[in-house]
Amino acid sequence: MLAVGCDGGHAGGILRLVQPLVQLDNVTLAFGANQVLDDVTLSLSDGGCVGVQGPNGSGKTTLLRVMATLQPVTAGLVTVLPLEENPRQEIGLVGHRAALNDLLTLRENLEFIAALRAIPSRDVERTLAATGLSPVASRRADRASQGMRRRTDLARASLMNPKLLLLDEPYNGLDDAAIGIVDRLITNTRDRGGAVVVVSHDPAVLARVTQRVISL
Amino acid sequence: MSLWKQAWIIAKTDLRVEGRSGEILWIVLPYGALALFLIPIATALPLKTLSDIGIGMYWVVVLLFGMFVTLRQSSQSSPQERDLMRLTLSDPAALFLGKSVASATLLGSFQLVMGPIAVAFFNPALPAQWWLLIPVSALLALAMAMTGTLVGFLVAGTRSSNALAPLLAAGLAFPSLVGASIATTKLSDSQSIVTPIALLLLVVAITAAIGMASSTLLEDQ
Repeated sequence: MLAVGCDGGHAGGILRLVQPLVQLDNVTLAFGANQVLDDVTLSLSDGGCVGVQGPNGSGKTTLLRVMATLQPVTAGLVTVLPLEENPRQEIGLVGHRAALNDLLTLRENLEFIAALRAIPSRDVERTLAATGLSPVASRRADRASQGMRRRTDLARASLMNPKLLLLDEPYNGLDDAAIGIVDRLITNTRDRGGAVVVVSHDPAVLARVTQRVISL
Repeated sequence: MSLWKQAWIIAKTDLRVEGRSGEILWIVLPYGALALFLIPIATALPLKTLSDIGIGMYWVVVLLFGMFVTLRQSSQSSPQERDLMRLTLSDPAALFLGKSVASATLLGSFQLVMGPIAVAFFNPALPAQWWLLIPVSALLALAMAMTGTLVGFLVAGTRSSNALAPLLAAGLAFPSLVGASIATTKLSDSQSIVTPIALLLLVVAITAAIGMASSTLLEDQ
């Protein structure tokens, strides 16, 4: 059994009951005979940041998808953002592959999501500027570099102001400036009272940005 | 944000993406026109016979090539994009509605282009009230678009989706084709087309209801 608790300590000295933003209880997931997650228990409260590490195929990405409510589990209980009316809309997922429409420009990819969420277009421009994408924002996604595509994915997560931010290998293939963008995204989410989960192969990265690390 | 507004945003974006891919304009339309052109040559039928079967051939081409319109590559999403939509939309039915509206618009345009080509190659005897075929075509486009969208959702991510989807969609769109064909025959005989229109409306209503109701289930499959 794997059990981890992770609170951000944002109570500010006020005695209160902490309602976890994410609570996994004895979660098991199998695809046929392939056991992917085995009895995982995890609790993550506001301001918390937990890292997930493990070898290839150990179920790191699947665990993120479970926390994103995108992957049903075989057994166990998953509670995500229980106080939110529509929890999915408060989740930001940045996968290791950018979720971009190749035939839209980088700006249009952001504008599309912004329009669906009724986010003002000035926020799109502000986010593009903050992530250093403004000069290339009119470039089609299929003509943008991998680094720019990942930046756009991060920009979109930033634009959506999620309460729960799930990052899958967020630092892979990024230059120093983009690494700073990821760091800011994590810090801002935690400062707003959100929680962050970071999946990485690199123990040094997890030690730097997370409070606690679980191994799968 | 309302379901309808989200659907409208999705439809607009889908049409913009298709405009850039040019899949319908440069691939499906020329192939459809080629099919209409080849039928008279391949069958070598007398002109009178060709004229008699002209409208029927038109509907067949609309059905078969229409499947490629509704299942076009540019409207397919990667698993990452599908996840993003699941986390973004307040109502999953918006995706079904939006993609259906975009496909219906493209199918309507496809029919608009194919119609004069069929007339040119087959010289069919058009009914006196031929303009009544316009609402029939619109309903057919809507029914086929929703059927194609639903099938696209059903087979998304499956191994043989490319082969399976057109087969499923064409089968499910068959009642719509029958409705359009009966409407044409009745118009030619100067009869009322209320019954085939009602059939098409029924297909549209049933497909819309299934699509909307199953959106959440299909989203989480």
